[in-house]
Amino acid sequence: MSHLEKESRSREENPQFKWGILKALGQNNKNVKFYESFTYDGVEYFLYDCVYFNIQGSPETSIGKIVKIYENSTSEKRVKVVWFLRPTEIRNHLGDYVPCWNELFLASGEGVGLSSLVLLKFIAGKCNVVCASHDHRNPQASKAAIRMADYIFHCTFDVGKLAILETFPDNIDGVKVEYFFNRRIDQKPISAPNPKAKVDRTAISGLSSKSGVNKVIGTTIKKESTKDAVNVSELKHPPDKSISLKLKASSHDNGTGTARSSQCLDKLEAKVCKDSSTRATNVHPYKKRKFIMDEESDSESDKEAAQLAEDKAIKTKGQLMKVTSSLDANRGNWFHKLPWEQRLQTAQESGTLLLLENLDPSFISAEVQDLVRDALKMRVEAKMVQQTAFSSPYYGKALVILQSKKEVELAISKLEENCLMLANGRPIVASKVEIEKPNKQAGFVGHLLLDKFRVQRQNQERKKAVSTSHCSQPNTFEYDLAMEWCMLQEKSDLWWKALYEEQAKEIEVSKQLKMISTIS
Amino acid sequence: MEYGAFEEKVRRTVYIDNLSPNVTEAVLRTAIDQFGTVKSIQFIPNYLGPNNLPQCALVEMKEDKEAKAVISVMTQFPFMMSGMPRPVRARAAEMEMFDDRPKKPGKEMQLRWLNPNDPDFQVANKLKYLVQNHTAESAVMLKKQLIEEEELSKKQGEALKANYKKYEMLDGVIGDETALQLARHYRKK
Repeated sequence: MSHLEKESRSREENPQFKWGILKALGQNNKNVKFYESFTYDGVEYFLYDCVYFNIQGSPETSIGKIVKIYENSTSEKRVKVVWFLRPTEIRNHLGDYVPCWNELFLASGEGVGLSSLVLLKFIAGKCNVVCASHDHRNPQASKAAIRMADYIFHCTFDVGKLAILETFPDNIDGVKVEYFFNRRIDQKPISAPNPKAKVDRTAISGLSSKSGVNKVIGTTIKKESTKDAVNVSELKHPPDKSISLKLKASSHDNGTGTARSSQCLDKLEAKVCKDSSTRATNVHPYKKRKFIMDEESDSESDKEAAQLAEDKAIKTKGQLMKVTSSLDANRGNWFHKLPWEQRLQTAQESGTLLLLENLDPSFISAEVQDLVRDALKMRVEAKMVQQTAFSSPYYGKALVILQSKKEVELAISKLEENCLMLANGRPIVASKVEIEKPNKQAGFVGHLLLDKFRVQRQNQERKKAVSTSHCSQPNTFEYDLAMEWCMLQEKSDLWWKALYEEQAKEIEVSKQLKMISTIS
Repeated sequence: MEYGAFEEKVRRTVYIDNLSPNVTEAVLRTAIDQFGTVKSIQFIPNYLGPNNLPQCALVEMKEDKEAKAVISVMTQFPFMMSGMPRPVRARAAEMEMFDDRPKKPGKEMQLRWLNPNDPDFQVANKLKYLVQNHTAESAVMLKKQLIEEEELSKKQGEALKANYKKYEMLDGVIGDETALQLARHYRKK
């Protein structure tokens, strides 16, 4: 890959990042660094900013307030975020409360959904959230500010009690509640002026609308819960598959269900991520490498995937190059170096393609070229047709590209009028030929799909590119059908064998005639 | 490439056919990776056959025992790739399947032109005719095979549908408790 592409790729993967002021070092672990601010992708974020996050599995972004910024000993950059809950997320617990169109609820209390440790890369931009509560600790926001805000909040939602509270507790997840209210003017400056927030928002809404459809963003959101941290990774499932996991308090009644399905997903994730990454690389080695990067959830596996992707790209490129150079060696460098397939195509279109049959199957392409050169005094390019399971073991064929239509005509007529014999009495047969183009649209005979699943399966396969290779187990219906195919394959092998034996006999007989004629 | 090395490569390579057009190099590689290290994959282009022939490929493994393992497993158990129930087929590769072969050392090519006066000319012509006949026969055979395959597939499609309907019905009956009621009626669990 060129250096330039490498650079732009690394820029995509590692959007500009810069740490701001270092606040403190970890008490227990000196390698953990806490910061007050950082710059990511051109935007500077401070402690206690409200920020949009892109969470996979959710068509909407999630909004949270940064309460801690740190880099741990494994160089992971994370923010601790207290969530603002959307009304839809707590719709089961709203009761009589009718929220405004842009109202959020600040999470509080103790429980799942209060806060999370999120990797920095899932930040989608700043959000302007204004507190409209009349709590005496909250500096009242002007009407204009409330109007201009992206979101407002009046109340808090206690994730433990599952209830909306109008009174705010003294602290939320260990952070003084004052930090959640509107900023006093003499405190640190408010993160971003409104216009900028608006700009971010439109950009983000553009992003989030795409994210529902196409954007591949893996997430690892470690939830702080009293149980073990649930590692939830979402795959690129179409929305109707109904494995959309809501990480917030709304699905409390499905708490255990989410944990279970997340474990299942973990197992699937490894397989699908690997498959889709390999498939994606194969199709577009450059463009889609970014997708692979985003799909993996850890930075370590990011590096591995990048290496794998690079290796594959280099391998496929290497293969192509090898083919042309070997041909060059044979031909003496006087054809331009297009790949063989293309040369074949042009030859067919210009009528310079010839098929030679009845060659010795052990011939190689170079020998055929020499043969034509010696016998017909023409410089040509030839390639032996590769044998397959049902090629005749007795006959070799070669495709020959000549210099002009005239030469083709000449060759054919010469070989017809006189016989060019090979060693063991084989006359070479020449003819014009049409190359078959592979018809990828034709379905594959023998692969069955139930109509119901057909459309879904095709879409999924196109999106996920999962290879469904496996050995069939004897206790399935699929096995019985497969066995029928095996039988047919065996039968066809026998037919071919019989045919070629017949043909060999005929050749022998004809040769015998020849011997007789020479004797007489 | 040296001839000896080429022979060794042939031993390490598996010829796989009955591949669906959906099978790409990546798919194939992932599938065969289970058996060992795949060194290279080459799909054999189909220039002369009918264009609905299944694909075939040469998969070069790192060691010849890996190649043998692939062939042995795929011969014993039907192996599905990108669809079912038609299994792929694997066999040992042969030299003539490769397109970039080195020349066998010590081989010499002899050519001879025959003109119409030559006594052998008639026979040679006959042989030519035979060649064309045989090519035609092969084409017919191939067509026949493809037709058989289509028929089998159709038949299996019907069988699958019937089977699926059967299971759907079973599911339905269990689901809407008809089965339960019947069981109670017959006093069986």
